[in-house]
Amino acid sequence: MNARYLGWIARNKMFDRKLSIAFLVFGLLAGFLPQISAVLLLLTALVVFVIVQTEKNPLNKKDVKKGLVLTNRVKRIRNLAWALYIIPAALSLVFVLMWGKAYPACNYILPQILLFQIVPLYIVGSNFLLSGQEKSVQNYFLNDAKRIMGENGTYNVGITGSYGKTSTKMVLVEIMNQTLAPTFSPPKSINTLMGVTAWIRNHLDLFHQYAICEMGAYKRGSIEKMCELVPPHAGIVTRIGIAHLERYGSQENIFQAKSELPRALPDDGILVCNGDDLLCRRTSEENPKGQNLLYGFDNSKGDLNAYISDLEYDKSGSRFKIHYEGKSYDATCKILGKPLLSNILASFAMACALGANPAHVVSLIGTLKAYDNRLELKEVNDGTIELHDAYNSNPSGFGAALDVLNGLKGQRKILITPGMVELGDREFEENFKIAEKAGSICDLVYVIGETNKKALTEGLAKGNIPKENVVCIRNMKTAFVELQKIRNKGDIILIENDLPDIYENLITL
Amino acid sequence: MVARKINIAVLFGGRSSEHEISILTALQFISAVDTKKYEITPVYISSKGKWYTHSEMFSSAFFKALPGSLKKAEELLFLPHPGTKGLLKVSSRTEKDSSYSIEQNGFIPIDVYVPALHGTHGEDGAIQGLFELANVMYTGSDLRSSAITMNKWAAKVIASSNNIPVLPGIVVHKKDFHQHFDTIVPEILKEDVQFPLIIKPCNLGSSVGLNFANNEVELLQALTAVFKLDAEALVEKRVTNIREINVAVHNSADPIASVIEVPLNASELLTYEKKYMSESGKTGKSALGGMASLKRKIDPPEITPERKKEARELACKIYSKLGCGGAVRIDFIVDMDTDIFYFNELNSLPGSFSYYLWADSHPPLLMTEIADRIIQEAITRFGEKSTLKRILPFRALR
Repeated sequence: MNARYLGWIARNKMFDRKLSIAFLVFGLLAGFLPQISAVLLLLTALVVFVIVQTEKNPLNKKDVKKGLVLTNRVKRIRNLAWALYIIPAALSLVFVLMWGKAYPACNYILPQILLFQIVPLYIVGSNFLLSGQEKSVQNYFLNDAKRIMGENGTYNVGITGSYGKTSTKMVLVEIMNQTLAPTFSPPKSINTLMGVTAWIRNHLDLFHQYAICEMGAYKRGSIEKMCELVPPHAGIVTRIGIAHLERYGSQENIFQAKSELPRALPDDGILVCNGDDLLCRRTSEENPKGQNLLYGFDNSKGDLNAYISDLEYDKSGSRFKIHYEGKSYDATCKILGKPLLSNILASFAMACALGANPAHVVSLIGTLKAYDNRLELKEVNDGTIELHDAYNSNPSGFGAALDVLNGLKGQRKILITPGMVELGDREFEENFKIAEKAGSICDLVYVIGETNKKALTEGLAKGNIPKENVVCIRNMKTAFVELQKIRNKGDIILIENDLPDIYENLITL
Repeated sequence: MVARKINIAVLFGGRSSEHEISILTALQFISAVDTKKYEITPVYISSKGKWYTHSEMFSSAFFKALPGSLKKAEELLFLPHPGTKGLLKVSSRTEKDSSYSIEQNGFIPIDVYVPALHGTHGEDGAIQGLFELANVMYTGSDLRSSAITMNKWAAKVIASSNNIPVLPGIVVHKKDFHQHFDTIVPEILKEDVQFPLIIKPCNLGSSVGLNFANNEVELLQALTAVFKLDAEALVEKRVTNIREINVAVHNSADPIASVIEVPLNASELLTYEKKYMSESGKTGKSALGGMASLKRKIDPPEITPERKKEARELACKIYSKLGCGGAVRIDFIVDMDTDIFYFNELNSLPGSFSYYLWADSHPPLLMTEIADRIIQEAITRFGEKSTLKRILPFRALR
């Protein structure tokens, strides 16, 4: 984590400028006009005060999308960093007192600028020094959670994949709670080792008979560790794509990492994999279990155990048929888009494999509502329709969202997006491709921020959208303000992906 | 008559889907109570179930600033045993081992508890059970009546057994639905229970979870949706050409009915959203919104005096047969094709205490008077209960 943070600082040149320049100016002036150095010092202090007050505060929820949460761990890092910072601050003061008058320019510039520039290093250093203690605390919690899991004896289902883990989990937990037995699951997208550990320790209870664990990973070995905490009896692999490619390094690494879940299943376990995804099929073939089930849309090979056909949708939702074990079930739900329906199908297949009545599960699917910002359709009072797909974005999901946008009847099709991130060296290519598709569908596009601006604008041009219909905007908030001025009844607006603050609003220091 | 102010605690919020409506009801109630007679302690029950009080809870601003505003509130403790004379302020609490310590001089004396909690835990007997254990005075319907009236099926059965017309219906249990999913529809569609149908959770308040079904697929889906909320579903024949009529009733000793109201949008049953979340709610009578601000016709002239009298008498009968207390609201459905009144449901703690119905009654009763009456009724009821002999425990250990 320290290496990533330092790398981010270097790549984005997150070095202090404003305070350093203020002191540089002060130091030079003090050097030439020592007689008014006291006044200059006061002026500099005033400038520093104004700079600090006007900067965005990550602790202030009004300034940022997701504020910094002062957990105990964050406070420990902060407090130690401050304590250690006293050393260079004290040395700087001694330096100034002893040699200040002899070399005013140097002494009023160098120590202070150095003090500002080394702040990130102190955060990193503090984190490093505390890592031993943190590790010890984490191990205690982890072992406690393992003990609780062992004592409870739940039947565990693991879910992994490059995309769709959370959606699949949320649907599956609802289905299993209603059709099988009380099911434990950490909420939302909690999928890290310590996140799941905390939930197990605080919420797993005697009455739970099943547990579902979403298993996120950024490197090989992560899912293996999760499987030690929550030993899976069954698993779902939703898709093996290129999400977080820059962290994994290669697609093969991603494949091996995701395959840690199938490998961890017992021989008589249940493995449900996405039959539309070649790598998912590969992991299913390489890990034969008691039941290996494939699901998907494309049943041209005739080997899918569960598949969807006859898909239609409009603003009220989707209508389709689910085929399973030789029977066909008519289904409806308010959820749009093939990727999300694929996740629903994965949950259907798993629940039925565990003994749920397929007809009952189909009925339950009919009651599902769109989840927050996962292609969620909202009809607005002004006669427009908004498709909120801001939770996360990947090539498959973005493409499906555009398909839905294209398929809905309306006046103008409007897209607001900053593009996709964390795709490693494929980031430009994937954003270009999706923008090309968007350019052929949309009437108006707002490109947010600088992160993918080049790829998106070039891709949109290739998709033949008129140049004047591509608007580059600083951030999502501004885009909405601009949109408000021109939106008309009948417009359909797709809001695709919403990047964290560090991508959209780089704080210039 | 006591020579001092009577201490009342008004409880609101709670672990219910009607949490915010409850806040509105309580604020309206608190603002109406005669402060010359009563000393009010607002007791807010958070959505996590903890009890709090603060001097700023008399204003809606405190609740608009939730959850941050709770940091300055004092947590309270209520001990569920006889002799509990009030509430205790908690000075510190350790979540880890669930221990807490009580503030010195942190005792708030309470004579009467006024639950203004809607739905789960407020109208179903839960809070009433707590008060019974503590043997304290509390307003509204008692434990037994609350539990019965919260269960729509139980209320229907008792009403029907007292010759009060109810719509044909059947209760479906989640366990049966689960075990007999493929064969349950024919079991439901018997006799008068035929499409179109209305399906609702048996034990939730205020039209939460209302579903409609015109065919088998919709029925199964409606039941599936309802069983996410409750383990019992009430399936009734749906009357399509309806008029809703509501009547408020109070005074357990000699029930008094208010004028009738016809909620607008009466061509369909009001769902939870339409009752409380409609745009009309934002420009209604009450600045605090809630049920009071829904558009309605009060004492409409197009309904004949005979029908109004019938509705009011029926309401009093229902109130009496179901053993109610405090100020309730009884909802009827009138089948406009057959002109039959059907008892639909009883709200033992209606939004805003239905004060808007009393304000337009003859004679009019302001909320201050309603508040006073229900508090005094609680005192009288407790007094009557105290005259009952308590049988000493049977000595089985010797």
